[in-house]
This record gives sequence, C-alpha cells and structure tokens, in this order.
Amino acid sequence: MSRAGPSSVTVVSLFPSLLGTYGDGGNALILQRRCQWRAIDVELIAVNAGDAVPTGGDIYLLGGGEDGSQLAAMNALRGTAAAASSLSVALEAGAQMLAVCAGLQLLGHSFADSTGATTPGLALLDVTTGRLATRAVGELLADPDPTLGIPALSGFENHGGHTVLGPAATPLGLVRRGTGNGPAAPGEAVSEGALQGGIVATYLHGPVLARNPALADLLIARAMGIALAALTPLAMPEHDALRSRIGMDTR
Amino acid sequence: MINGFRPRAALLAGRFAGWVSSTSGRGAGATLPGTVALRIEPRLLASLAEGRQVAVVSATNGKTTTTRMLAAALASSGAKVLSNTGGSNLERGVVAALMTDPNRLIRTVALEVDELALPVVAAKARPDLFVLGNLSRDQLDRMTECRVIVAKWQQMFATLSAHDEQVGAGPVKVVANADDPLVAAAVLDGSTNCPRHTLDITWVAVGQPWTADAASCPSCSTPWQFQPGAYACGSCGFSRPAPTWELTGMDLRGPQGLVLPLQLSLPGRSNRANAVLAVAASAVRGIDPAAALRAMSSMIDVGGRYAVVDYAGGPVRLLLAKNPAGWQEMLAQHNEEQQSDVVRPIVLALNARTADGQDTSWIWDVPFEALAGIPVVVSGERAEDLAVRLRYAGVDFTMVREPLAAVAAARRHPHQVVDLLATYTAFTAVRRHLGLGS
Repeated sequence: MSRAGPSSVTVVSLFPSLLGTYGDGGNALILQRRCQWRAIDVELIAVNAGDAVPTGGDIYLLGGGEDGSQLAAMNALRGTAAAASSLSVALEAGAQMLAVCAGLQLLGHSFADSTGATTPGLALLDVTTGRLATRAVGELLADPDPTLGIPALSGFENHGGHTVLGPAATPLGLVRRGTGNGPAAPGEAVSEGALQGGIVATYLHGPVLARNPALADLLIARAMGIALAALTPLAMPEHDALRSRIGMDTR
Repeated sequence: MINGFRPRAALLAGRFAGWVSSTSGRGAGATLPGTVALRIEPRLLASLAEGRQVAVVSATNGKTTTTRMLAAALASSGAKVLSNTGGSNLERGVVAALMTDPNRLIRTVALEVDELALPVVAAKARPDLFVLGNLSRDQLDRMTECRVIVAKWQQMFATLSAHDEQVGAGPVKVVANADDPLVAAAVLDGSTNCPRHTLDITWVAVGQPWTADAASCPSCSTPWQFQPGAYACGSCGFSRPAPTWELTGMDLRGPQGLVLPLQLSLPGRSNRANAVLAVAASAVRGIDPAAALRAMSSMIDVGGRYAVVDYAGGPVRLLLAKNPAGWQEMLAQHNEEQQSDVVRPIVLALNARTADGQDTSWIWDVPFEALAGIPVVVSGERAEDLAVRLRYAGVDFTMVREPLAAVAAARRHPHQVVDLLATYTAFTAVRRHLGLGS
C-alpha cells in the first residue's frame, strides 16, 4: 500500500459507482493494464461511499457524475470515514490524483450545481467553480503545460462549470478548441483543468486516459518516482489510430 | 372530423406536406406532417387524442418493441389499434401518427413516447395508461441525465393527478418495472413507499441488468448497496414494490398463479422483459394474457431490429443499441445464441454522429470483456475507439471500416450466422445498403 518504490503501484478508485457517469471507470482499467503490460505490480482498490479511504495509495481517481451523485460523493468524502483527511494525508505524502469533471469541482473551494446552489468542496485544489452561461458540450482540445512533456490533450467535455484558478493552481493546459475552464479574465488565455502538487484535474472525458495515454504514463511514472522517459514505451497502434482519427497528432 | 378552422387547416397542410415529401422521394414522411400541422395548430395533439383511449410506453431501451407488442395484444380483441409504428416518438411523430385517422374512428391508441417528451405528450394526449420500462444513461451529450428525467416524470404525475381530481376523472393507471429503482421513484413517494398522488399502479418485475445508474437511492440520493430485485434504502422508506407480474427465466408469471411460457420469435432476455410489460399492460385493458402473448409471439423484426438477412454468403442478424445498457443487453443476447460447438462472430459498428451521441466515452461502460474468445470485428466511423476499448478489455479483434465488409470478414465459413451490433446511424446506413430502407 505504501509507495513501495519503482516496482509497485496502488490505484484507488474513489466512489466509482457514484462518479462514473461518463465512462471514467475506463481510467482505472487503463492505468492497471499499462502497469501490467510493463510488468509493474499494480493493485486496484475501489472505495465505495461509506468505506474508509486508504492513505497509502499511489494514484487516486475521482470521476464525473450527475449533480445528485456529485453531492452524494461530497457527503461521503465529508462523512464519518474522514475520507477528506485521508486524501490530504496521501497527497502530502506524494500521491498522485486524477480528478475529472465533477471530481475536479469537488476538490476545489466550492462548486455550484445546476440550480445555482453552492456547495463547499474539499479545498485541496485552489479552484472555485461557478456556472457557465450555457453548458459546454463537445470536443475539447488543449495544449498541455509544456513542462509535463506530453502531447496535445483531447477529450469530450460535458459540464456547466466555470472554474477559476487561484494562485496555488496552474492550468493543466490552454484551450485550443472548446470551453475548458470557461471564459478567462480579459487578456488571459482560456485554461483547461488544473495542476497542483500531485493533482491533475481536468474536464476531459473520453475517458481522458483512453484519448491521452501519455497522461496515464505520466501518472504512473510520477507514482513510481521516475521520469516519464524512464518508463518502458508501449507500442499501441490502437491509440495512435484513435488520435489520428480524431485529428490529433500521434506523438 | 375535428372541429374548428385552425385544426382542419393544420391537418390539411400537414397531409399535403407529407404527400409532397413522399412523392418527391425526400423521406422524413414519418414526422413532417406532424411538424407542419403543429406549426399551424400547436394544440392539435389534444384535439386528435380526444375521445380515444391512449396508452403511452416510455423507457430508455425497449420502448419501440414494447409498443409494438402492446399494439399487437390490444388488436387481439379485434379492435383496430393506432400506433406510431415508425418509431417517431416526439410530439410531432405522435401527431403524425394520429393524423392518419383524423376522424378518430380508431379509438384504441398505443404510443411510443420519448422519455423527455413524455410530460408534454401526456399533458396534451391525456393517456389513461402509462407503461414505464427502464431508465439509464443515454447519449448524455444531447439527452438529459436520467435522474432529471425521474424528476420530470414525478412532476408530470403530480400535474396529471391534480387535474384528474379536479375534473373527477378516475386515477391514471401505470404499469411500471419494479426492478428499476429510477422508474419506481418516478411514481412512489420515497418516505412512505406509497404511490404519489392517486396513481393506480401495476408492478411488473422484468429485471434491470444495468445497475450503474442506481448507485444511490433515487428518492433521497443516499448511496446504497444496490441489489437488483431487492433494493431498499436504509435512509428513507423507498424500497422495491412487490410485483404482481414477473419475468422468471423463460416464463411469465402473473396474478392468481398464472404461468405462461414465453415463446417469442424475438430473441433475448430484453425482449422477454418487453413482452411481460406489454402483456401486463394489455391485461389492464382487459386482454387475456394468453391471447396477448400469442399475438406478439410471431413478431420477428421491429423496425429492422433483429432482422436476419443474407449477406456475403450467410445470414447476418441486425442488432441496434444506442447506449451502454442497450449494448450490454445485446451482448448478453449474443452470448445466449452461442453454442458450445459453433461460435457466432460479432461485428461491432460505432458511429458518433448527433443521433448516436458524439461522446464515445460510454463504450467503457460496456462489459466487452465477455467477448474474449469470440471472433470480433470492429467497424464504423469510430472503429478506432472500439479498438482501444477492446485492447484494454483483453479481447482480440480485427478492424474493417465498413460494417458490411466487416460482416464478410467476420464470417469464418459459409452459412455461418454473424451478429452485427450497431449504433443508430451505422444501423440505418447498413439497412440502406441492404436495400431495406432506413
């Protein structure tokens, strides 16, 4: 369960039944397989609402969901199992976290639902989410933070959130096509998602790791404490063909 | 004939538009008359439905088949039945179907209605019988999250009941799937587990293998450990109602110890479920269950679904499904047809146009792992998405872009049956290529 060094990865899927409306369960499967194909020991743990959240995971996953599920997940995170503090312990110990859509919003200071009601979030990520004037539905294409060393990010977005980043968070990428975090301040580029410590937060579905396998490998490499380039490359023509089909460069 | 200048003008204009459309060969004959007529007289549906006995069928999956079965059952008494058999299930499609009998000579009506359109159609057509099958995630880029549909149905029944009480009409009858908590929550009050308002509910247990949208109680949103067939919320009083009709294996079970074997020409569990719902609904209308079942037993193809046609040296069975729950049911059906000595290859065809849903993420919710060991060919405009999904599912496959070419590639020896499972626009394109219409 602890970060046992470069040969073992524990993936913790948080509330997969509540936060899995947009195929996000695929992200856990993709991480698991990409470890297995490299002969990296991998353990996949699904945490359901009410279960204790382990503190020793290497990669935590939070997916997308409807308003009601998002609130139920929020209540579970705040619940008696002290899930929220387990997560913050894990992150401080260097764990990675992939948070998609509703998951991104839950990690922030607060988020607004479709009725406009505001719910406090976990404040593990310095973002605040209000509402977009019109729901963002469609293909989303973003140029990632160049320090990540991964190719352009692609996915499908379907959300009503307008997310504003605070000073502690940086954008996961800048929007080339689509809405992402929503309208930016005058003179600023429109951003997509957020990075902070071990957290990678995004509005990309697809699921995101199916569309962007390099991001999956980045999470695995970071969890193992090695550079992305140090990870054995996986030849997967299916990913290249998919990215080419949806108009993405393949490298 | 319907009275009033406006409704009559609307009918004439609509029928003229339909005639122009069909004689010019430019398709869309199923909804165009309705669209044109509604533009002239928005209240036309109420006039067309007046004095008729209207049953509506709604569900995420199976509504076309269930409606067809219900219409057949109702017709078994000798009555003429009017139905939107073309599958156009929005208000304009319903209006177009009713316009074919503007004098309202046919009193018995069975309508398939889109889940979101149901409240509007119900407010105007005033059905006295609702048949509610299942709700699950479906093309979320253009449709609505299913809990929102539950809320809209709750509101609809509140409005209808209030109106019926006001005019002293009898209670609305509902035939509903007890095994789908989302359907049950639309008509049950969570705190008392009693029907909301004055609904007269017949519970039918026809299963809901898809459980991914039942992660929390649909009545109070508390997460629960969902047990199909035995769900009960520990937080509010919501629990599975006791059914009077049931699908058990290959049998229908009904009131007073009734047991009927389900001998259907249509394949699969999901069609047995559709049949039990339709029989229960027709029983509400006084139709004998055995007669109802006989009437639907010979149905072999519903709008081209399940049709078996010859292509490239053998039969191909055409399967349509539009969302992960539907694909799960179709994969289960494919599996049911497998014999130990002869495997049946399957072609998967995925498009991502507007009518298919542009977001392909849902394929990660489909249990493709079950296809391991079976010859699989992926096809369609988004075959690449399926290829990635299957690679992670550990399923071997080949890829052929065109679905019918894929059928030819999938067939290992002459006369072997191949299943072709396709999303909506891939399915209609295949039917066009086969000369079966769209």
